[in-house]
Amino acid sequence: MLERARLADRLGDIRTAVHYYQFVAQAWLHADPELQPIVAEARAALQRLGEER
Amino acid sequence: MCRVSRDSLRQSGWCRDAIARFGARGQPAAARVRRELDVASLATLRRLAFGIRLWPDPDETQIAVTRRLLEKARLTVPSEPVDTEYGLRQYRSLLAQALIHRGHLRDARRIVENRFQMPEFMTLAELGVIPPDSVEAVLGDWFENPEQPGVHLLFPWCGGQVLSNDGRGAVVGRATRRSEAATPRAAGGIGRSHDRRPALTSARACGSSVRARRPCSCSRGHDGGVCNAFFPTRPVLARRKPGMCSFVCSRQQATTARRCGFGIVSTIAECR
Repeated sequence: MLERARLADRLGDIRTAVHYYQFVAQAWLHADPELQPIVAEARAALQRLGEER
Repeated sequence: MCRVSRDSLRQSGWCRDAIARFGARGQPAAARVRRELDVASLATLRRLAFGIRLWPDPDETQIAVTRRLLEKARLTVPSEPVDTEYGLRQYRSLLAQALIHRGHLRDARRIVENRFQMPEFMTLAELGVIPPDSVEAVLGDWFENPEQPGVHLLFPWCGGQVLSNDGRGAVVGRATRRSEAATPRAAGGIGRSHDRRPALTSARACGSSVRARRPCSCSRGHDGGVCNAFFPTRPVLARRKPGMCSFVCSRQQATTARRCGFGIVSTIAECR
């Protein structure tokens, strides 16, 4: 999912990127601490893409 | 409820009613869910667990449902067909999947333990949660006990992949040589005096030695060797375990294609 989000992000498909970033951020909201950097990345991307919109 | 959750629900439409009972207009209330789960039948829990397994809700409902499902399955009357070891294994696997999906990898590890028959064992190994040393130990145990049940046909392949990815092809090679060293004793009946293993077990070691060449080939990057090593087992698998054969072939096909950059000749259809 994260890879899909990153790919869509690079391709400029904001809608798809937001969809998958949201999925990652929600699904791993309470994940193990080792995975939290990924959640942080997804949240940061969501914030950035929200600003771009 | 978030947009992603609604999308997931649309994909699993048949459980929409069950989810609706948990409060579809807002996020499911934990207390209400608990009450519903207390009175839900095993069949309902099973359908629900499968239906919401990819649901990304903040309450992690699928984990609660799957835990309850496993508990209930353990308490079910043994005469029911679902209350078999296969059923429990399936539910345990479902719980591990749910935990992995929600990023609770350590909890998933506790569920899976060293049950390498569970596909989640290899998932966790590939994610690095199960260290290669542990994979090696389990692999070694498999070599020492070749009478373990049928799914072990898959294990050398998967184990070889994990270890070779970690640059530990030599580990698989050592295990293979050890296994091959046991073969002459089994075949010729000239085992040492301290070797008290039953003859049947030793005889089966011959088979394990053949199977052990697959991960060894894989770890050395000899994908052609891996493919060839699978051909002899395919007719046996196809006859005894058609579903397993399809799975083995699809896995073999995908992995080999990925590693070699081309498709291989074998197809799932050949197994049938």
